[in-house]
Amino acid sequence: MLTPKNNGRRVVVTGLGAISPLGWGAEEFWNSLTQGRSGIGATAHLDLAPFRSRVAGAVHGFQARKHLSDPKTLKLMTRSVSLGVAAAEAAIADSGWKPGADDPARIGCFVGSPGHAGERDELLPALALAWREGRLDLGTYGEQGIAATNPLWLLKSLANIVLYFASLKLGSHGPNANICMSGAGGVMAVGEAAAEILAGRADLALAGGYESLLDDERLESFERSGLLCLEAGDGPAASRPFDRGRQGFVPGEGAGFLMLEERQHAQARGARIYTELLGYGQAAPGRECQPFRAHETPAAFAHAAAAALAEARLSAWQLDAIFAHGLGTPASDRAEAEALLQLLGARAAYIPITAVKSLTGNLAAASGPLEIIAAAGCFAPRSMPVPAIANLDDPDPVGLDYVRRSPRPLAGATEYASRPLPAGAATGLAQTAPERGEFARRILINSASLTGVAACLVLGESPAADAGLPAVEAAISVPALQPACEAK
Amino acid sequence: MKALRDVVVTGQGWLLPPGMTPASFETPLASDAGPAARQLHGFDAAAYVGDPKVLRAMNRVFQIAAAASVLAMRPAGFIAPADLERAGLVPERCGIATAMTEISPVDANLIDAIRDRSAGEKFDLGAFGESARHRLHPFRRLMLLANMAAAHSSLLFGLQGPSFTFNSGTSSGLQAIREACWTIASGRADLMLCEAADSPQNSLHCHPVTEAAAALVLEAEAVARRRGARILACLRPGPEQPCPSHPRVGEPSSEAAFCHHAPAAAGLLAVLARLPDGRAAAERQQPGSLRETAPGYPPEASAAQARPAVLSSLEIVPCAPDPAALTGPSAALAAEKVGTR
Repeated sequence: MLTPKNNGRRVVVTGLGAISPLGWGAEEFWNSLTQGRSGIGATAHLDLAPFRSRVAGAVHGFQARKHLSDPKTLKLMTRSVSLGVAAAEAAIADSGWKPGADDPARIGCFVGSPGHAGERDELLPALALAWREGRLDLGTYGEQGIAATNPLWLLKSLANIVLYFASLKLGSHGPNANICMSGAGGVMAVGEAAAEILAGRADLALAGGYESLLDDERLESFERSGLLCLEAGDGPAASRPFDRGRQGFVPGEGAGFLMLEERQHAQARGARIYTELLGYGQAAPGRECQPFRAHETPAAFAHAAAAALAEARLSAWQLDAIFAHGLGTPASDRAEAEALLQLLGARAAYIPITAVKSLTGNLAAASGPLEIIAAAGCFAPRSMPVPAIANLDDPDPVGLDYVRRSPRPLAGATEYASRPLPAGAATGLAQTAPERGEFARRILINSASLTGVAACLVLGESPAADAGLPAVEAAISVPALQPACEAK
Repeated sequence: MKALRDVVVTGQGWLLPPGMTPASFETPLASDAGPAARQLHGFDAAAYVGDPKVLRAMNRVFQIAAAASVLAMRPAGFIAPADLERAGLVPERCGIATAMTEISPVDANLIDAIRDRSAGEKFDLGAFGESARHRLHPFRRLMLLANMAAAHSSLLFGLQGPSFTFNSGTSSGLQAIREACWTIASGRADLMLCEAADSPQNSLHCHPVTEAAAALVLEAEAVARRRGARILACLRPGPEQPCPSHPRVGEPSSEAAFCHHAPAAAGLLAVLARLPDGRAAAERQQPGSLRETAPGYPPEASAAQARPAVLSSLEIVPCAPDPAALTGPSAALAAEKVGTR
């Protein structure tokens, strides 16, 4: 939860950095979502032929040397790390904030990361050297194998390497964390950063996540898990959240970062405000489930969403849209839908639900921040419609208001009155102006890890006075990437 | 601003190669200690995690993390998930903060798969292909998730509240404690289990790592007193402090030794060493700041390793056991099941 909150502090988003299978930058991302352009297909940098999973949500046209401010640092980065650092730099640039303007101790940095960043292939020569009589000889490995390995392998594999580069870019000495919570890590990084700002321990923070599931080790391991979509014919049709024909998730890669600021801090420097963070909740499944099946239980989804809504002082039926986790595995979608049905009650049929992963695939720790960026685009002044869930032909489970076939404009406060009341509710906020009138529209973001931990955020539309401020000039120019659809 | 709640330590557990007694803290390992000296000998995971199905799903590092957590939670009165509610706690307000070391993509399961499929005695790179994949554990990728340790411990004790896994090298342990402290102090949770573990199985690529695990049970003071828990110390989280430009390494303190060899557990071990049961030396029981013995990476590593994770300061005030406090339901539960320590 974003507590304590009674000190007058509020957290707003002032910078966005998005690198996804749908292209570079928030605007390209929003356009692709609106047009229903899928980023799922073949990959240029990885041969999928040895695997049963033949499609992926890969980032196309990313040239690390071109897109990083200091290409010399690339020798310390794997591909996924370079995606993360590039997105972090893009978010800082987009915010217009200049390093050196604030006390370093008041600048935070929170990263949702996959943990270990090293690539296994770089260890294979060392393993071959140390293979003796059909076994790995650790003594030989230590004496000869490590000497044959890239001396920078250890640094490249550090779990917190993006946190390091992002902190350097920010000049941050303040609160920070490298949160390794797989699919929930990105949203947790944003939520924890916001909590630090609200508690007064920081004035601004960079937060987000990055991850790539596109390497041999992850693909071959996930292939055995039964969680991947393995028999997809047509590429873009493979990712089918909430569709009865879903078979599993499509692995992908990406990075999403946000610049968060205390509202007055942002206003004082005339920053453009995309959205405000109103509530954050997080929960674990806790009991009565098997470790590898924990993500298939609804309890954590329900608890986390309820906590986020309580923090935002909202009832579930005051939401205008929900950006679901929508992993695309039969059991996970069923669990999330069950939690949403439980949360929304009779209003479930009237609150639009979308799933960005239908167009991007599962980007793990990067998915959550990218979904926050997607939702921020639905608010003024961008006012993007809520994107449709791709490939949703036969909804399962039923009972939720899935956005299908075409995007739908985000509802607003004026439409509350026209919505039917939940059964048994004689009166309610739905019949009146929203409790916090300036937040005409709110969106819930759902995310979850494969260990069953769920993290949710509630975003609110910024008051027009904030959103209408002139955009600040970007600190560095960001070259455009080739759109995903053209790179194939 | 809302008043922050006081945080206390009500449970502690550790596994170190020298043993599980307070004296084990006084036995720092030499930097040139061989692999045998760095491993837990005679460790039987089944003594801590009863369900063989769950055990098979755990890597060694997750097993020792869970074992340390069991050692910490038992004397605090928690053995099964239902014990939280029996002690008057709400499971959704009980969470976990884990510090986890690197999980290497080259693990025993993969090596076995290669060996089974290698032609004769020769290492076969092609064995990484489809034929070897069929030898992998179906949930191998989930077993390599850093946050799987937290998932296992959450399920063991029924912790349904906030769940964190941190990996920032040697500062991970202190970050876990700091986050747990703030989570309780700000009212988001009433109890947080902090755990950390390191295992050489994850260090094929790395400097020698000691097999070690540590765990602390942190609670809101009012909650702990209400349920009659034994309070070992008060923790006061301070603001983040800039990381020292050069880490202090090689100090003759056991903390420094543990930092060098057990990166994730280092922070927790440093706190444990200051608790009444952790070390008998009186001077170690005085309030002090961990900044004085800030864990850092070994000097041979690049400054890039030392810089990213900013260290937390933490004031630790050990408390003498208060016999009058040992009268609540948790004390009775602990006495009934395992006896008070």
